[in-house]
Amino acid sequence: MTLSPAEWQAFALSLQVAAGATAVGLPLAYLAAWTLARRHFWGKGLVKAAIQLPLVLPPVVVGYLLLQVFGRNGPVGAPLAALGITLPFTTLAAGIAAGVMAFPLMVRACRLSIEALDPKLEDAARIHGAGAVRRFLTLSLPLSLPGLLAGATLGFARGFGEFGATIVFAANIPGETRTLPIAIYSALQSPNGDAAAARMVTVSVIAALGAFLLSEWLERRTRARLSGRSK
Amino acid sequence: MSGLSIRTTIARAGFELRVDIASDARITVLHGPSGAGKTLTLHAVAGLIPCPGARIVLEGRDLSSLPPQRRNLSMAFQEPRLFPHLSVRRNILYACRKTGGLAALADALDITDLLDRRPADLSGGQAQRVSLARALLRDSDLTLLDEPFTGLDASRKDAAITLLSQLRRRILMVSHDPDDAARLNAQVVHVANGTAQ
Repeated sequence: MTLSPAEWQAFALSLQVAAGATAVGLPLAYLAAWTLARRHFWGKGLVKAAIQLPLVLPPVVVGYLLLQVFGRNGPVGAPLAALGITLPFTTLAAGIAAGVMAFPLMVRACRLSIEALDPKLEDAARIHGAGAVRRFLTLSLPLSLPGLLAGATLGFARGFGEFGATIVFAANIPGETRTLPIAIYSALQSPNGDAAAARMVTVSVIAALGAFLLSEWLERRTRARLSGRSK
Repeated sequence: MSGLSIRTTIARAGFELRVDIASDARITVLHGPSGAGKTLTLHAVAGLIPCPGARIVLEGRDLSSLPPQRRNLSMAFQEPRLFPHLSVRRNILYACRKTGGLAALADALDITDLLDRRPADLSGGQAQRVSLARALLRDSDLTLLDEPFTGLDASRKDAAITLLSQLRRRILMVSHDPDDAARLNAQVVHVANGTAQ
């Protein structure tokens, strides 16, 4: 069983989109998680709801909203268009759609690990002269690494499998926005496409399983390193 | 003016403690029954609990409005609070970047063989000694020790008391054993019935 060049292209594009969405989304998700876990501010509930919204909205609706915001006449799209930048129906649009859909999952994973940090350890660091930045870099960040890894895995998996928001906001352009799920959908829509769809489904399952096992191993290793015993 | 002066009222969950301490001694021991507020007093001095209107003066320097990290203190907590992802060596050096003095201190507290281990590998008494080393290696103006001899066997407690007696540093410590204060030639502050003075 081998994939055709077009199918490989869709597979590679999916990897690229999911990796990009995770790489850009994860730091933002950690920042959002930190703010939600540690800060008290007016409208926190509203911010929390807005972040979680893509989880409960149909993906197609999210795609439509992205189109409204980043479209030529949208509040963000119009100024960008004036600068000659068009986002909808590009690879970047597919990345944004994947990132937005994956964002709540990444935030949740990070928030859980930040909330699990022991404030007593931070007190011990403070009394021994560590300011906020040093405490973050030497304690909070390394100790919440398993949550970051879990967030990266979930975000990547969600981005890799994203379909609804992507097809609305980025469309189905071979080589540019036709990711693996969209390619599978296209194959199923065409006569005699069953075999191609089956091949791509098989590759998806293998890739997802591989990514899951890799992340499990990494998470176990990290947990052992953080709380674990000497070798 | 005394070397260490603490005047504050600590109010926590229906409990109120009036603290009025003035001590010129190098070592001051807070002594009193469980729940009297000895640990709370240490945490107030450390700046780890909010104490509006507190006045904490050390050698003429007013610490009251400074955040904990700028008070130049060090502390061994009742529970060791070691950083689980760092080796014992890095835990001790967290409080102090200079490595000079570590070997001698580790030797005095009998933790030399533990330096490359992780906190999860330590027994309660070992972790307590590492926590004590972390507090003592730092070149702080005041060292706060909360029941530092808990979990130590008699010989190691003797060694720790000898070490504290020899160090030329100002210490405020909590102990429930009246003999400790006598052996350390310390000034005793009684904490009971809502007052510490």
